Amino acid sequence: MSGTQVLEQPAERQMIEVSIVDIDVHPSPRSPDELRSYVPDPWRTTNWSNEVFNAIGSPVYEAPNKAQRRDSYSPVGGPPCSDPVFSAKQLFGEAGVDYGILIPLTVRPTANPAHEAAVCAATNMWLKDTWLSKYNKHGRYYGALRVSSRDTDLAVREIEKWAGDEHFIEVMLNPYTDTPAGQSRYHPIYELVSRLGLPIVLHANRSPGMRLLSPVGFSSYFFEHHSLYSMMYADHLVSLVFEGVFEKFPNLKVTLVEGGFSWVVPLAWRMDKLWEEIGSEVPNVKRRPSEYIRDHVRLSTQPIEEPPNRRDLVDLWDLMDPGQLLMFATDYPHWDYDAPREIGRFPREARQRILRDNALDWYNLPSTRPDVPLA
Amino acid sequence: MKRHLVGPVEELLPGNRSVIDVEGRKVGVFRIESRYYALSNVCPHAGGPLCFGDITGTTVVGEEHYDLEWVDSGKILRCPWHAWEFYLATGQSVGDSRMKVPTYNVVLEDGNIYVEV
Repeated sequence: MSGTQVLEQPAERQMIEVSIVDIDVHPSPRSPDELRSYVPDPWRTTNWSNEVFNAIGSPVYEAPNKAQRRDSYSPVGGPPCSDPVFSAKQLFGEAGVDYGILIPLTVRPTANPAHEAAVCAATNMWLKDTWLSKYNKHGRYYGALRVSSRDTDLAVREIEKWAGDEHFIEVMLNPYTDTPAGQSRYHPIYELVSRLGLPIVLHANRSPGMRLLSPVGFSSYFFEHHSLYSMMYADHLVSLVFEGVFEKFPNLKVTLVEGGFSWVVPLAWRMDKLWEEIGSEVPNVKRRPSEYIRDHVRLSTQPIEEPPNRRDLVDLWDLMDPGQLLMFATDYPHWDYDAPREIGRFPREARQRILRDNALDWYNLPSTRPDVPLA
Repeated sequence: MKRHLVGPVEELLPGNRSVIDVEGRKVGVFRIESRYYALSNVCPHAGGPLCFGDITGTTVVGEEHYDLEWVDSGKILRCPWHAWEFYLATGQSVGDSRMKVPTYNVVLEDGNIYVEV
């Protein structure tokens, strides 16, 4: 080295105000092998098909456009949302999202709960290594921790393993279960996440076999299945409320993602009426169901409901305030993606809360972020 | 209406498309078999980049309940976001008679493709 070199202090990072939080982004590994390398043995070495990692594609119901935004394939190859550079361009650049909450749909429920838990564990390690660190120099990604909803002990162990991690800000339960979400089987999970301050998120995660069954039989078409997502979320929601879960765990928060939202209003009318008139069946329920929903539940806006008369979407909300209950989601890179402009359907005073404030509060996220270049 | 150069005919092979910028407006120009089409790249449903979608056909019902016919193969553009379908030739939505995408004339001259916008 010649002469004296003055080392410059790095300039103070400019902070910018967060304006859009997207609570539903689905990253993928570049290949099934990338994820498989994280799966603990014996599950890695035994000859399981890569289908166990594919919870989007389904031999039963095929979503339009193969379930993906057809313009979300990176020029460098790989599945949609596997190339962090290209995804950042679409999500942060074109859509203008500030924070993306990553919900990896890489765990197809399997017959064996231990196997499912192993794939969850692998998914969490993979997400932490890649999208939550290597790809997260800008600090704009947070993630949902995957745990098996079929074995409470295994779920609790996985949550404990990651407790205190700064990036996992909620815990996902696969809603395709054989037990409604309010029942006591899940209570150890709720006890733990309440203590840790982590919301539970339910996100549709198509499962093969009996769990695709509706109460009236198997549907023929994907459109039936997709239209009925709301029903599955409603099943879990009424269970959570009427089992008294929110009395038992007063800090529990539940996020319902990708199940639509307008259904919650007439459902709450019905629940309130039953509780007010003949509440003796459910003495654990101390307050009006709609109040528990208001205090403990948030719903994603995506897939946005599109009544022909836009006003109908707003007029529905006399019982609840959409500006309090809803959080914006794109569902990037999936086919039923919503751009932030869809929030223009809501009254002006609700928009900022839906796009930003509600998620910042719910997940306790910083309201400003460093202005770090993406590339 | 002004004529804008898309490029030489030999650079747009059958089955391919080119999305160009015409005075700030994105226009997709398609060559499907021997025909050319030009449409706005903005889907009227939710603003998706329509011209990056798949070329497809659609289904109509036959005589019996589960009789389905696959028709208009190669004549329909499906939006890459929400899979809305539009006829390449007219811009008319397949499913919603009120929805239409602007279409533009394509002119071939001296080995070049032009679009009139």
